[in-house]
Amino acid sequence: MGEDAQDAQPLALLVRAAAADDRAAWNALVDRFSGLLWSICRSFGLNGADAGDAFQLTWLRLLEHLDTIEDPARLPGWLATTCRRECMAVLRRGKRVLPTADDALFDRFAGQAAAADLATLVSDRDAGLWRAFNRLTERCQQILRVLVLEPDDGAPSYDWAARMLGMPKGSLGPTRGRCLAQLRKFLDTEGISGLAGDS
Amino acid sequence: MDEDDVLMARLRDLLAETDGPPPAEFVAMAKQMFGLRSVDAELAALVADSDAESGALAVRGGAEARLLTFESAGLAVEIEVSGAGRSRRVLGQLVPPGPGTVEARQPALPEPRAADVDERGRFTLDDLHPGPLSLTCRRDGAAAVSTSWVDIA
Repeated sequence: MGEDAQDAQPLALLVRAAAADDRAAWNALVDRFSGLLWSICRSFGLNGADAGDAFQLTWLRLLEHLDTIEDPARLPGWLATTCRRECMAVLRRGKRVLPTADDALFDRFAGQAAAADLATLVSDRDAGLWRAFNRLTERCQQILRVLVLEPDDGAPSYDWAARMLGMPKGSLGPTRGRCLAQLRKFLDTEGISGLAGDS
Repeated sequence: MDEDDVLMARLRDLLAETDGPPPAEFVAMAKQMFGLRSVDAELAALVADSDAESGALAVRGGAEARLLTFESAGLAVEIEVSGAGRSRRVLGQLVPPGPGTVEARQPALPEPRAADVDERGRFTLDDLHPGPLSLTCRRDGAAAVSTSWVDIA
């Protein structure tokens, strides 16, 4: 099967083909989900070799479970949750912290993402949004980061985000609203509207 | 889309920009991993890890080994990982004890590394690399068993 044809393949077909030893299908899975996994590694403040370790281990986990995936449609959520687990493991290994308090670990390292070089951002508007985002509480940043990453399973719901955040599904909508309202307040002080079309 | 959806979309674009795309070399490595797959082997899950069990901040000195136990339905694999720098040594024990062969796979190894398992179920693997490791154990009359991938950094 040609590489181009893989792009349009339904997930179930790709998973089945990879399990049947089809290398092109595996490559298509890697291409399809590497962006999502990378975003998750970065959201934990991981970089360089650390992010690479979590990234590689996530793919190895998929490799050893290829035969046992019952519902291919849930693969994006499975990959994301696995990646989160591997990120936590890398953080514990690297920093020798206590294997407890997932939230505390996330709070400590999520802030490192703010060290991103603002000069790489194209416009003042983007820099303003970045500054405003980093003024949010760590919890709001974490929640919005996860909601933004909600994998496109074709059935968008808060199931995956609720599991990742350890929050009840029903509270996600209102919390998202409050965090975005706060973000809009910070944007106002940056002199940037929260509406589209602003320049 | 309402106001909130629009703002989330801007945030998604911004975070994608600041995170950057996945490095090409990582994506290439992940593709290459397909060759490390162990087909037709039962998976032995990690059930114990001395690194995960310490209740206090512990800096493991080079002299202390890490103990790992993997279990499948018919076989347990206990290993002791030691070493420092770029070299790792694995001392292993199969339970129930008995002879066979074990093969170590690692992304860092150009070829799988094989070793004999003696009558008492013991084996030694030297000069392994820090990083992910999976062991495939084969004995006569039993299904092959592969240990869950673990980072022996």
